[in-house]
Amino acid sequence: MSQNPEQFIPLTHVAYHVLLALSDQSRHGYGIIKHVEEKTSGRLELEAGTLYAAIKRMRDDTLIAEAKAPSGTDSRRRYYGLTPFGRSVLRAESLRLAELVALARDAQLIPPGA
Amino acid sequence: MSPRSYRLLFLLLPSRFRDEYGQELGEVVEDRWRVVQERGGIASKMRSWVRETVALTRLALRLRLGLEPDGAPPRGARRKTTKRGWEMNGWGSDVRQAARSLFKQPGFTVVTVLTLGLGIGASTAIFSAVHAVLFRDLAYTDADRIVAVFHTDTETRAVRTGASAANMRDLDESSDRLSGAAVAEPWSLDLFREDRAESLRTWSVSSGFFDILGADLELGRAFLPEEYVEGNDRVVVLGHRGWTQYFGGDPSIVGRVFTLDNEPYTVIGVLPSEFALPDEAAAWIPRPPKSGDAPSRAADYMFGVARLASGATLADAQAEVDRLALALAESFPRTNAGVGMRLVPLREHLFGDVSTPLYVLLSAVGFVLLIACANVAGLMLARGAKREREYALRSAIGAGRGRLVAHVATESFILATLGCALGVGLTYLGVRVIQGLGPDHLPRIDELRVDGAVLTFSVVAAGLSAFLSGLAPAFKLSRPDLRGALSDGSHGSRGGRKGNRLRNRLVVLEVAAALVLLIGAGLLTKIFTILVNEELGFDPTDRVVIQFFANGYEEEELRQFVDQTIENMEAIPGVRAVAITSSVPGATDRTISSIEIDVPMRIEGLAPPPEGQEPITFISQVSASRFETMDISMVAGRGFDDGDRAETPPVVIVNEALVRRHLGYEDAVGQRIGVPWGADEDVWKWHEIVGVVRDVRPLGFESEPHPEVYFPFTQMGTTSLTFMLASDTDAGPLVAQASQAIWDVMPTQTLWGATTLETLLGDWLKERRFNLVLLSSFAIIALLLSAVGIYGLISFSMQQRVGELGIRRALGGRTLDVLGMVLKEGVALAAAGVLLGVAGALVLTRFLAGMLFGVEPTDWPTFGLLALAVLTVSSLATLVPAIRATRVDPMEALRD
Repeated sequence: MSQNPEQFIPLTHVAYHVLLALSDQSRHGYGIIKHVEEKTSGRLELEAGTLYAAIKRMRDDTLIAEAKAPSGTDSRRRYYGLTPFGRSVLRAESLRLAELVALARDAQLIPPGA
Repeated sequence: MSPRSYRLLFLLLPSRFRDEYGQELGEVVEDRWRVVQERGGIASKMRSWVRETVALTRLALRLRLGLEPDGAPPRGARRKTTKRGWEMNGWGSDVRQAARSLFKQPGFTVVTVLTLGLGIGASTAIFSAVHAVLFRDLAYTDADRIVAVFHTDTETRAVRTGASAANMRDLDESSDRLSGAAVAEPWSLDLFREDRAESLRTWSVSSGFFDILGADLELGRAFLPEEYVEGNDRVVVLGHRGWTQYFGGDPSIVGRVFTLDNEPYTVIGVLPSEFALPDEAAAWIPRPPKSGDAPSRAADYMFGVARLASGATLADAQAEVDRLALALAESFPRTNAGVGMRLVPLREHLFGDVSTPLYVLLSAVGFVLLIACANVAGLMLARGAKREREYALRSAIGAGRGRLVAHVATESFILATLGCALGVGLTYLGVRVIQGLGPDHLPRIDELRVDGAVLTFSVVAAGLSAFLSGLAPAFKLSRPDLRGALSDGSHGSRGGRKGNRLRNRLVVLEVAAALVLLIGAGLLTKIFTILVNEELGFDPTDRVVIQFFANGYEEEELRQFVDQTIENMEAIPGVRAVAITSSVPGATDRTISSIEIDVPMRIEGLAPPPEGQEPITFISQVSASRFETMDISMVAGRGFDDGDRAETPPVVIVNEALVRRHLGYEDAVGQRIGVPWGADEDVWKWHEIVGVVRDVRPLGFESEPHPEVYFPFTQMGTTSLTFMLASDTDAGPLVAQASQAIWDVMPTQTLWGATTLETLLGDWLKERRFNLVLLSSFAIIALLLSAVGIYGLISFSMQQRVGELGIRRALGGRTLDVLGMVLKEGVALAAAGVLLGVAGALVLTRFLAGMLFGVEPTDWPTFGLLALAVLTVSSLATLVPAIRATRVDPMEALRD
């Protein structure tokens, strides 16, 4: 089945952060929560229910899949990683956001250097 | 949130999702919970709990309603409708539509909003009390690490009044797990003001006391280490109330010198108003180590307090203290044999005995809220059934399941919002009622107010109500048989057996919940009446008590002073009897101090038990007229009389409890008991029992009367004295006259407390009345709400069956038959509810056990009576629709 990344765009806030968290390595559920919390300096704290709503949806949509645990980690837990398709969706969404940011810059809403 | 309670919520999830992700969800929440617990206070725990619960519930709801895709591959068409647009549009029109339809049915709307408002208001008011009393931060630095220390009896595990100075000093010096330990000894200082001496309630505190509590003073400073030395200790820290009451809140008070107890004391600081440890006193003074401390290690009347060392847990510290107590018992067997020490977290010490009643009230009010929700859900369901065709039509012209559900959800949301607004209004009223009704010593009741946390609670309660009351209708709608509703032209009896079953269950639950509440309230009422009417053992009406400490008198001088005062008091019109006593039943230290002196005793003719294991008895010194003044009747023997003098053989009167427990029901009069006498070890003085009096239940140790021994004041003197007057007239005005009678004899004598016995008991009774009134009102509200619920349900069911009723009538069904049929339906529901309620009460009243003394939690008369009452009210609620059903005109019904 051929899929078009465009049909998943725009991503929800939560979905974007989850994909982003999985872009460098596979993580388990709590690992994702911790990573998102760190990267946003604690501004986004995902509840377990919210996270798994997103995980289930993205798994069903094959954006993410169960992945091997990175070596030296807790292998009893289930790890998730990006599928190639998920990575293309993440890239497409990032480009869309970048375009928006560029527009905002043009409108001088963002101070240079920020 | 404990992860375990979170896992309970998994039941909401569809089983497929649960199987796939349940395990992981649980693990994630455990991890999160661990972090939250390390990090923080109760507020962040609560926040985390609420957030996780809401998120999971939302997920469950979305999965159940099919708003969350269910494993199906993505469908391009669905994705293209951008979600945001769909929702914005939907919500806006949903709100408009819902508001319009609610406005069109003002009856339904008003009843619903009133019901919800009542539920939300009552629960929020009670929450505000629980919040103010139990959850708000204490005024002491890092209060969770402060513990109160009590001696315990290692054999019976009973907790004693407090701790002794020497034992606490040993803890302070030897413990690694406690960073400090100190005591506060109750004290009094006389302050001369306007030619009259006043007793300042004072705590004499040992070194480290203020550091342990981490007190921030309002003015000045706390004591320096060198001020805990004899000679440097004439400094005083004032309590906030003492400062305002005696010194007019003078901001320049620090540094001033006052004469207290004929000694110059310098005021060095003022405590903030929140500081009330061990309780709210007028002054605190330093307590240098005393030579008498070491020999009186058993003197456990002082308040012991300590702080956990950093890194030490309560369990660590307790284990260490246990070891130290054992070592002390070995080193000092005479005073410390069988003495353990228990660390009690400060919060538990302060609020322990009020937390149970408050939690009981909170759960009671939770029941009321649940009943309110069930009622509203029932109403909405009934309404939903009437509008089945409307929904079917909407669905047929393209409204998705989600839209229909959103419509119902919006309605319950609007209703809950209105209910919440009303509820907050009622909360303001409720808080005032609680303050008026609440016992004065309910800690921090004056801090009760409606604040952010309380309002948040009401919003959460409203959200919960919207959710619960909208849940049933929404679920029902999510599986509609729309085609059936449309094709079925008549609206005959097919309101759906299924829908009826759901409504029936709601009613059964309501009735059950109401009965549980009623039984709880009924048990408390029963206890209250027993307490007030029978169990005191004395008559508190029209009695005056005036307590003073007669320090600085020669023995003969004191006797003259007392005799002369009694004579003066007896001359006051209306006074029937005057007595002097060292103990006052019902004294709680607030106005009148309870002087509880317990001593070991031996019984003549029995081998003395090993040292430290003698039976313990309370002792009091009383004048001959004490029992008569209190209306305490003699069970056997005689009272004291003028013949019992210092030089005659020593005599005592004992109470029934002592006879029961230690003399084994034998004839007590004539037996002799020994008590330790004088400062020497092992000198026992023998006293003949000349009389036995009825037990009183000195309030406070409510369950069992203690063994007591009364000595004649003439044979065993004391300086802790209370005049007790019985009068034929109202005792209120007598308090001042009686106090004046004392000052007429001795103008400089300070009085510790003067009040009526009823006032003294009032505090105590008030607390019980408070719980009782609140619980009873909730129970009655609950019953009314359930009655409304049953009424609504049966009415609705009759409305649906108009056609059937018409046929019955047309075929010759008699009025009585129809009436019986309808009644049967209602009574069957009520009976099911009653059965469930009795079962629930059997379980839940166990939690009341601590508040029930003298009444079994399973008190069948109460259960039976209230079950009958609920059944009756429910049947009455059925009667109205039943009568209406008999008036159905067969012609009209059939034509319709």
